This record gives sequence, structure tokens and C-alpha cells, in this order.
Amino acid sequence: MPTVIVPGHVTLQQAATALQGKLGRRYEVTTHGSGAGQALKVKQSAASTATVHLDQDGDATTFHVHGGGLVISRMVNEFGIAKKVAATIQDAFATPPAS
Amino acid sequence: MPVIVVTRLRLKDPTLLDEFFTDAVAAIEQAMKSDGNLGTDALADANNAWWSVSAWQDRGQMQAYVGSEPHLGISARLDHYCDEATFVDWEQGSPALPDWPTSWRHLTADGKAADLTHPSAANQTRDFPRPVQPPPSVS
Repeated sequence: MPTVIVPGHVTLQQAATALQGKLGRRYEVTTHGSGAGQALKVKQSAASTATVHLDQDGDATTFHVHGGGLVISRMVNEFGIAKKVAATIQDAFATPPAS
Repeated sequence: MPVIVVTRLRLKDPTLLDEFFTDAVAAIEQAMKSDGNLGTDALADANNAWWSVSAWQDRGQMQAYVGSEPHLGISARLDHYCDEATFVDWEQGSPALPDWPTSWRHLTADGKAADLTHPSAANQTRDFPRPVQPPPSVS
């Protein structure tokens, strides 16, 4: 599971907006749940999905990116779309977001 | 009575992921197709750790899987891949797979560590963090 730590306090909505902008229209980024259970789902196709949830720790935000799907397809997605999403988050938030 | 088997493997070097991933998928696919398998799942955790859990009708069928290829050959490469390799099994009344926190509790309480050439300190103490999993809202 790729993990990305970026400086500053990034909200889930900021992450969703940044991911949608950088990944483009071939990907669908949606928010799910509420409170501590809130997360993003990134979907390229029915079989290619990833989930993102955030931990705030002091002045940093940790993004946990999991491949979506069941068992083997999830493992494949850990290797594919999850790595792409993690790299995109790293690229988007390499510097602290403007508050 | 169903037997539950949990493994936790941590890669000693992230560059081994490509190689390890191929073996991991092969072992999981083999388990899912093996006689007596009641369920199998895997979790990619933080810090290059990978978990698997499987349920078996009985210990004999589980051991038949462990002793056959490709699992047998893959298990011989654990020392190449890992600085932490821990296993636990237990019997339970239900064939349902345990959730990851339950698997973590069994593994840290009763797990057995593999003999590794370059183990981390935690390989013997089983001082492993709880696995990180996605919230139920998107699972």
C-alpha cells in the first residue's frame, strides 16, 4: 500500500480536487463516508480502482492509498492505479497547500 | 474444525516488490483453487508489509497446499525477500475469514517467526503495527 506524507494540513476535498485535476477526465474521483471514515475513491474503470484515506499528524498529512477490488484484482490495483494515485498526490502536494 | 492461517511478510527492500508481487499472486491464486480452501484474502499494508489470511476445512488440506508448488518454492525464497516473516494458525468454529485486526491480534500474540538471514528486531518480538486498511465506506 503506497503511503505519501506531505507537509501541511490537506483536507479530503482539497485532495479530491487536486487528484481530479491532475488525473483528468479518464478518472473519476468521489468522496465517501464522513468523519474519521471519510475516504476518496478513484476509478479508472470497473476493474481499476483505488481508495485514499488521510491521517492528520501535526503539520503533516499522511495519505494511505489502497488498491480496490477483491483479492487478486486488489493486489493488481495496489501495483497499478494505487501507485499512480500516490505519485499524483506527491506531485500535487509537494509544497504545503495555501490556507 | 476450520483452520485459519495468517501470514505477514515485510520486504527488506522495496525494489524487490516486482519479483515478490509475482510470487504473492501465484501463491494466493493457488490457495484459492486448492482443495479444502474456504476463503483467502490479502492486504497490502504500510511499510512494504503484506498480509494474507486463508481458511481451510482441516489442517491436512492446508498442509497439502503448503507442501505443493508453487507455494513450496515461493516459501523457500522468503529469506531473499523479507526481514520480517511471521505466521500463525488457529482453529475456530466458523469458516469465515477473520477481519484484519483479529488477524493482527493472533499474529502478534502467538505468531512464529521464520529464520531469516537479516531479520528486523521486530521479527522476533512481533511488535508489528496494526494493519492499515481502507475505511468501510469505500471497501
